[in-house]
Amino acid sequence: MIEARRAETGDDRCVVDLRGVEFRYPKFRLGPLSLQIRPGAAVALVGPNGAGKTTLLGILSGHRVISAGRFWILGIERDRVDPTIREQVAIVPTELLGLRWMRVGEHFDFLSHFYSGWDMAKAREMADALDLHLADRLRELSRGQSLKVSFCTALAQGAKLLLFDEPTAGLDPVARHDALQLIRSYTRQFPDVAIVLATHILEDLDEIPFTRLLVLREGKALSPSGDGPLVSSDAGIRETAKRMLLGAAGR
Amino acid sequence: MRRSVVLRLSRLHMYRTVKPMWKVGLATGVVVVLPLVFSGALNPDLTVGVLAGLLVLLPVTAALNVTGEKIDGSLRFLASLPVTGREHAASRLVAAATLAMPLVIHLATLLPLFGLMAFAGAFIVAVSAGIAAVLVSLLGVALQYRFSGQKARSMFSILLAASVGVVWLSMLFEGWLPVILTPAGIVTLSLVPLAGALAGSWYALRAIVRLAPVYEHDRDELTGRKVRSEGA
Repeated sequence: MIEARRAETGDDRCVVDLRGVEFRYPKFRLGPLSLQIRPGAAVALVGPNGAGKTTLLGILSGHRVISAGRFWILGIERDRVDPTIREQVAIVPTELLGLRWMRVGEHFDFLSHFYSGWDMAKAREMADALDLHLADRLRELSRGQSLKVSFCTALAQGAKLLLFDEPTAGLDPVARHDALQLIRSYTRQFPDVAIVLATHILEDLDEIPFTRLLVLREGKALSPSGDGPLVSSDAGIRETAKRMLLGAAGR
Repeated sequence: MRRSVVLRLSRLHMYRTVKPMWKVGLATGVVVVLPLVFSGALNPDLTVGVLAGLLVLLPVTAALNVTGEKIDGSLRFLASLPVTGREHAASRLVAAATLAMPLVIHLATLLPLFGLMAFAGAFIVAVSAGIAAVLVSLLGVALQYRFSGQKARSMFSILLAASVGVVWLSMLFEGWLPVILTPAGIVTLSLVPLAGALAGSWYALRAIVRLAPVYEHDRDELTGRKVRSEGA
């Protein structure tokens, strides 16, 4: 009875607690997936295009309603599209989300009206540290600068979970290096913030000290579920992911 | 529902509508109004009609702007904010109502001022026109969310054509006034548009509530189709 009751509630220690979660499109099914992410965890979400990475990030950021299973974020069950999740969860997509005619400073000011915990001083301080100019218009920013703006907003809103969707896709080698360094320094600076980084570029896995690996292929998890360590000790995380993907493809 | 969030978003929708409108106003002034003034053809009917036609563009343009918001990523950005569907829908409603207000004030004041209609009649016409403008605006927004690209524009064009058709048809009823002005006629003619307006508003607001917080440019939310090349 006690076990049954426990199973009905999420793990309060987890930032994310997915249990048998499925998401279905007419011609695609993600899951079932079970995954627990604790504060400070760095999860690498790896898979080829169309594996379901962005769909999973959509579920975690409150944009997608799961078709089956149960799902808790920060101890609260989310069984419908819930935009309030986005107070605590920041997503850094491939392209900066913003009104392109706004200046960086105006963008911060606009966002401050929607996040109850917005810290403008932090946003400006981070922008200054990252050499961003508040007077620049968003449409004038490079991909690398756009990523920096996303960092500033994630920091200012006080996100507990940071989701990266292919942050290095399409970047030149220098910008890619800078972007990964930025993510690495962020994980060091804010050890309580959990991050999930989706990528299909396996080289990215060497640059950040990931604590967990989730490999997806055609909506199915190739790596074990749960919250145990997923990186084998004898092989690096990149090699582990590569072996899993090649094995699943029958090579 | 957070009032400050609704007002902030509605301000954004209004700003994006009004900002480019000065070009439309200037062009109309040069192409339509000035020739009328210089030719001496400007009369009260035309003055009221041309200005009303210009003012009705405001709420309609707000609905058409959603196409641009899809293209420049604004809708996706708005969907990423911690804003509920109801707050999104309320902000569109506030923006549409505010943008329809100049039309209402214009009709309510100029129609009696130019002696075209009694004050009570002008008031009813103005309020009805305002409700119709808000309804068309909300339906336009909902259709842009509901259908993708060309299909949404086609649906919106059909909607506008149907609205113009209804107005034109209503003019043909002039000879039927003795029939219309019976209690049953008045009740029927009042209830039918009211029911239509309620149904249209319900559909529009429901669609915005459901789609605004989850909008993504690479998916057709309604059919569940995905653009495979974008990844899942």
